[in-house]
Amino acid sequence: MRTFRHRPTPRVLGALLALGAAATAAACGTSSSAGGSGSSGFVVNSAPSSLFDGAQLPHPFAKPNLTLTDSAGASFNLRAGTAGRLTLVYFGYTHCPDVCPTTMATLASALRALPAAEAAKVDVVFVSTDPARDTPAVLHSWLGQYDPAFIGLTGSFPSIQKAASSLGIDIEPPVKTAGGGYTITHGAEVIAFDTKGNGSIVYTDGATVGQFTHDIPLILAGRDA
Amino acid sequence: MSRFPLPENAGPLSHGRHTAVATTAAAVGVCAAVALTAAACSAGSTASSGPAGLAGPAGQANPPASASPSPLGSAASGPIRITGAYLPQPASPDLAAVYFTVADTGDQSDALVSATSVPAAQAALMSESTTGGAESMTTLTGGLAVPAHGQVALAPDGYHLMLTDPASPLEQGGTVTLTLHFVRAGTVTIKVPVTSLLSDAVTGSTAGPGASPMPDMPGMTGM
Repeated sequence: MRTFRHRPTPRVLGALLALGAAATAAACGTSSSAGGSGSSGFVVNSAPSSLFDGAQLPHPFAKPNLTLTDSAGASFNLRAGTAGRLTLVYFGYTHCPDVCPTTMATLASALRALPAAEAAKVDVVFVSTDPARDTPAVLHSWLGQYDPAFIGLTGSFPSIQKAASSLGIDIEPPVKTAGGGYTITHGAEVIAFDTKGNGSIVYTDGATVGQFTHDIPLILAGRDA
Repeated sequence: MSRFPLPENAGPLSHGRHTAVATTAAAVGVCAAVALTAAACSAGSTASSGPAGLAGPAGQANPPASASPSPLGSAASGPIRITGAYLPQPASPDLAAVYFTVADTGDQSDALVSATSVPAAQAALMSESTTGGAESMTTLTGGLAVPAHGQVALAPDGYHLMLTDPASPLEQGGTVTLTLHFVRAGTVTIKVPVTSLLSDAVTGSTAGPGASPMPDMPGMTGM
């Protein structure tokens, strides 16, 4: 069986429990997506009117006012640079063998599955939790293999850490290990900001292509419930 | 080449962790996990059993040149069965992840403690741990326990075998030959196909990795 241990952040969990949701409801087969391929990474929606496969937060996150360097080496402000666009934000690093590639592969596959006109309205932003090694050139090369349009951001670790913390993601500075490598933290969640900049839907590890292809059109259509 | 200390009792360590994780998985009800296991199990049932004893050869067959997806690697040695082995083409030249399911069909538990690879690379068994919405990898220094009459899956977002600094680029269509070292079963050699860059995308389907990529299917939108 696949090892799935990534429950949402305590903040998300608390918010969802506050809704009176059943936090451990089994999800198999109950997703609203057709075709049976949807399995929510974390389903709390005991309310039958739940629209999204991702976990919807009652109090959306604000898009961080974060200025970093993008993979072209240019200054990039997250709010200004993605204004008006559905923005999927993930904190990861390129020397990550498993979760970060899996997340990017899932997002890239989801965008490829959507009609081009819809995919064109979506920004995927990868913010590095290992900015010392993830230079703009490294990000350009790594992200570009998944989708040349993916936005990579690197720069001040304190700024990155603060922005992540505002989204309930506690990343730690890289720690050098005895073997000469590094222990790097990365996000366990993809956070979706709608076109108004409200980060109201969270996808935990194990979120599927189907969940994103289900939710993205709804978010673009301005659905919120 | 990484070697871990042989666990005196491989059972409680990673098995305990895996049990805790399995409980979480059950509570959350992740279909993909079950689907992947189901896919691995059905692939495993057709794996060649090979001779009993050490260093069973890989049982992977070449696919016909038609539309069927490339098969994943499988191998067996004694009671150990490896199925569903694949390595998604990595985006980084410095590392890659290998996934597979290990089943122990015998009466005694076993533990996977180390691996070597061709092309040469450092190999380490890794898991993920999460706190505060963030995760980091930890090395399974005690190896990965495989329960008797049970199995453990190395799958995206969970356990994986990390290969570091491969001696040559790992590209889709290629093969990595792994020699896995088990405490009881000894060595199992397996040919692992390098699958597409997107093959570890989480589709939640029972087709598993290496199958026709779902994203190219029309009609998937607005489900």
